[in-house]
Amino acid sequence: MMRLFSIEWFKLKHHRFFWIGMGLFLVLLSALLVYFGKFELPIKVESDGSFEGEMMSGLIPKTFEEAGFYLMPYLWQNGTYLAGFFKFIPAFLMLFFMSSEFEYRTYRQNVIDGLSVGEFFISKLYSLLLFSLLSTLAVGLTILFLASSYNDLQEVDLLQQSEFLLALFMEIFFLLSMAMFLGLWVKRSAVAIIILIMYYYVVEPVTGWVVDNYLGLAISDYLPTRPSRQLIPQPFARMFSVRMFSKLEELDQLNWGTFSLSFAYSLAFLGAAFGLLKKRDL
Amino acid sequence: MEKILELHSLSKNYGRIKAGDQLSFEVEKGTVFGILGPNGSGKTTTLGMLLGVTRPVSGSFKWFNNHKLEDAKKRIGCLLETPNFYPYMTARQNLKLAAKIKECRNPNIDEVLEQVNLHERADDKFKTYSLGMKQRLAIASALLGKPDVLLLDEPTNGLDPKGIAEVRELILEIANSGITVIMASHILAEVEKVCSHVAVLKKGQLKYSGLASDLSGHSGKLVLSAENLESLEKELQEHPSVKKMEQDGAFLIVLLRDEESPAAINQWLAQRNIHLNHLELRQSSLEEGFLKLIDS
Repeated sequence: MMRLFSIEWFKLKHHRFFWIGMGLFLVLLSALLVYFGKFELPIKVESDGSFEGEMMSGLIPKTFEEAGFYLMPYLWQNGTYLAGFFKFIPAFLMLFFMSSEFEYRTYRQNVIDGLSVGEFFISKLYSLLLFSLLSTLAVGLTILFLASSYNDLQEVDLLQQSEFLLALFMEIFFLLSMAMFLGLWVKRSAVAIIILIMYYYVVEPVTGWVVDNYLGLAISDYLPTRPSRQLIPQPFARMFSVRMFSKLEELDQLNWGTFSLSFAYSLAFLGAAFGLLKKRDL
Repeated sequence: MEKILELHSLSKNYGRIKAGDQLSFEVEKGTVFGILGPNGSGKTTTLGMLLGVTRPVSGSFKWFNNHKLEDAKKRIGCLLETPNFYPYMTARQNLKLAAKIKECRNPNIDEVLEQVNLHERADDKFKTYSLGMKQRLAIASALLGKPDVLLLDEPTNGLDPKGIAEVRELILEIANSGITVIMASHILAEVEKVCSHVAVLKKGQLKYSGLASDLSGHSGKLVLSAENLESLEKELQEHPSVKKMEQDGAFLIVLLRDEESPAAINQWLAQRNIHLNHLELRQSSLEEGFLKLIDS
């Protein structure tokens, strides 16, 4: 097994895309999380000039930081939710490294040199796991760093709500499984990345909306990418209410049903990828 | 003799086209085995099946007396069609990767790079290479880890005359070192110069398998030319041992029934006042045996 990992790592480490992609992920992600607190809240409460009004507007937060973006345990959900936007970077890497094996016919060469089809597939799974783990690790470390600079570590439990990191891992793992299938199926990285983005942002949302609204079927929740999108609930609405009305709401919980469904869809894409690889002449 | 490879009724078809039809033959250790056939006769398909990149419809084959295919492939050096390497890696890195896949313990990377004269460019990226250099790297990769068998598919395709001569020399060198060589080619001259055994394919069917010398006929062939080609042809029609004649440009190609010395023919023609300005005896004629099989 170490042999397959070492073969795959050798292919990755010599390509600048791997380092650029992973570096870009870390830089963009940490920049967004670090500066996000400075962004102004989209809601504004205008003071009416009265004394009470001035008092009120002084209490109302103006930026995300003031609204408690960095407070534990909420930071896990806030951070992982935002980090989800960057999952297309590892997905692009996955797709690129997969399809270029076909573009340059190196997959065929690997098999001629003595790799079985199954071994090749496993070596690509290592890539998938490596991309998912490195991305998750980058997010986890950034969140821990921000958590410790904005919170009193004596008072908070750093790991409370950290299951959202697991949710992020699943979200990335799912998208990468889909990317691996697409890269293998289409064999052209440029075409495959366009299909992936179009499907994720256009085809599936539109299909889901049409089916739900015109056919009256509630199936949009069960389309492939949907469970992975719901893994980390959008945290901002709740975040404002917590601070603004100083009333602690219940924390969002990781929904294991959604998690399992995402995992099942990932396995379906991986299974389809393996089937395609097995069936195809090289 | 130890058998390196055995095929049993190996078949493959693409729709209705049979690229391999019940192929059965054997390759013995230490031979230079040529798989011969015109374009589209199923040579590449056959090699593809033997390497597990093309799935046979039926039949089977054995490498090294029943090794697992993945293990067998690690003992086979391959040179197929165009060279496929990772464009972003250097030659040395590409060979290192191939060695990892082949599980060579101490890969002889520097040695093979020197053998194909690429050691000075070994640390340049593959994508900067010319076609000839890419081909040479493919040969280096095939020689990696001192394989027991070398498998070549049209090894001189796309090479310039100097490259062709170099590859031919290399094949003979390799064969002399005891490595079994299996090569597919549609170029007769190539096979004739290096192969001891041949299998001839036509439309996926095996037409002949055995010694190359058995395939080539024993009768000689004369290539003649004279000032007046017409009268030469006319006179030769009278000659008792002439079987067949054919004009090829300024030359007359004459197939003889019996062993007749060129000197006797020359004298016979001189007596009839025809003076040759070209007389050549072509002894070996694998081509004839081959064409006979292909035309039948």
